Amino acid sequence: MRDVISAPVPGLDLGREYGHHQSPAIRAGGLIFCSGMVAINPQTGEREHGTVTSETRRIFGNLKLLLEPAGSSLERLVQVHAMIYDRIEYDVLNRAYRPYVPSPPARTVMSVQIEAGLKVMLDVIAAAETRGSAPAALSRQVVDSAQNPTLPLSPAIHAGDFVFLSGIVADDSAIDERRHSTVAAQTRQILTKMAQLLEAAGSSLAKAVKVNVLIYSMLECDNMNSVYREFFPDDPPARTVYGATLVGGHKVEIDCIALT
Amino acid sequence: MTEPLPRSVIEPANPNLNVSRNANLPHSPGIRVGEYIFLSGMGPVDPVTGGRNLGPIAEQIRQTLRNMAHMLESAESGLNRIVKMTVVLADVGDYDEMNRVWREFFPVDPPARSTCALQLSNGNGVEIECIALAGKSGV
Repeated sequence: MRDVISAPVPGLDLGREYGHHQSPAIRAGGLIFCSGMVAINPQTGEREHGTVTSETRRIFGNLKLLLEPAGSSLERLVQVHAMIYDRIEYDVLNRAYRPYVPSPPARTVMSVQIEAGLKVMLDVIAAAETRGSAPAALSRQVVDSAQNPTLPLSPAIHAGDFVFLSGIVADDSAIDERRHSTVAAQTRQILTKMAQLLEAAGSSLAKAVKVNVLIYSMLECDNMNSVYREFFPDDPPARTVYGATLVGGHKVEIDCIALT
Repeated sequence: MTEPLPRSVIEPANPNLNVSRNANLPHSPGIRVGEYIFLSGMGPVDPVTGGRNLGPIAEQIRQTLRNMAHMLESAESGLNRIVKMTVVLADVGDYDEMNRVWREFFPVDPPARSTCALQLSNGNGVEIECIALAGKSGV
């Protein structure tokens, strides 16, 4: 079961407000996968640029609004990627963050480029409820391990309800070409490859629950989005986009978690 | 019927590796939810002193992966139960070295992985997080 969790208040629908091609959150396999959350006024949808402290507080307020009607809460957070614009604000983030997490989730703090010059973005997975009986010990299966023999990673791992994909980059058969290829071209190549890989794992793009897009410059987001939306015509997955330095001069790298 | 998916905190058996407690940070070392384990980002912490173990990048990565193994084993899981890893390097140029170390730790059926380069704190050269399955393999 893959349920789109729609925005409980109009402002939290970033698709409507800013054309982000993503669902606010997706519930699947007992978990809730949220799109990257930033400081938005929940009623008007206006971006509330502020300090790390004010943005963090706003985001947790919005997260509560999003999770509680969906059967979860701030006490049930599982994993957070806490993204800040500059590592120097680490202690400020911690001070603002702590009061909201009485039972703190696992967390990794990343210093990345965030959309629209905002200072904080939280990427959250939370626990919802089980459906049916508890599963037996789950098995872990590599999908299509022959595909990427040169790197010590598996392109995809099937575990329980989900398939977990490695970050996919555009084909690097011709390095010079890659350096000059556009974000749009790389995005198309990546998502085509992602569709094939998911199908090999018994899944599909339509079953993707959470997508992470890493891009070398947030200024190129629109170029990625214009291609991205073609691949997810209906009920797009939850998604987080952030700017970071990519290995090998790539401009875009995309990974995802999908239901099988 | 539906009921809340069980959620519990995972801690390392070795208290020196409990960075969030020792440095008073607002995260748990890991969370188990249902059959999945989510670990916080881990760095090269010395398991004897609890201090940072900085050195050549290959050694930092080895130490971090040893710590991750300890953390997972404390929860009765293990490196061979990892499904997805996210690796953050301070220097994108360390990618090949990372892969070399990866082959030592994951000789067959390695986990899915994403890698990028970001600013890291405390002079760490690497930070690694993972999602793993609970329970031993072969069960």
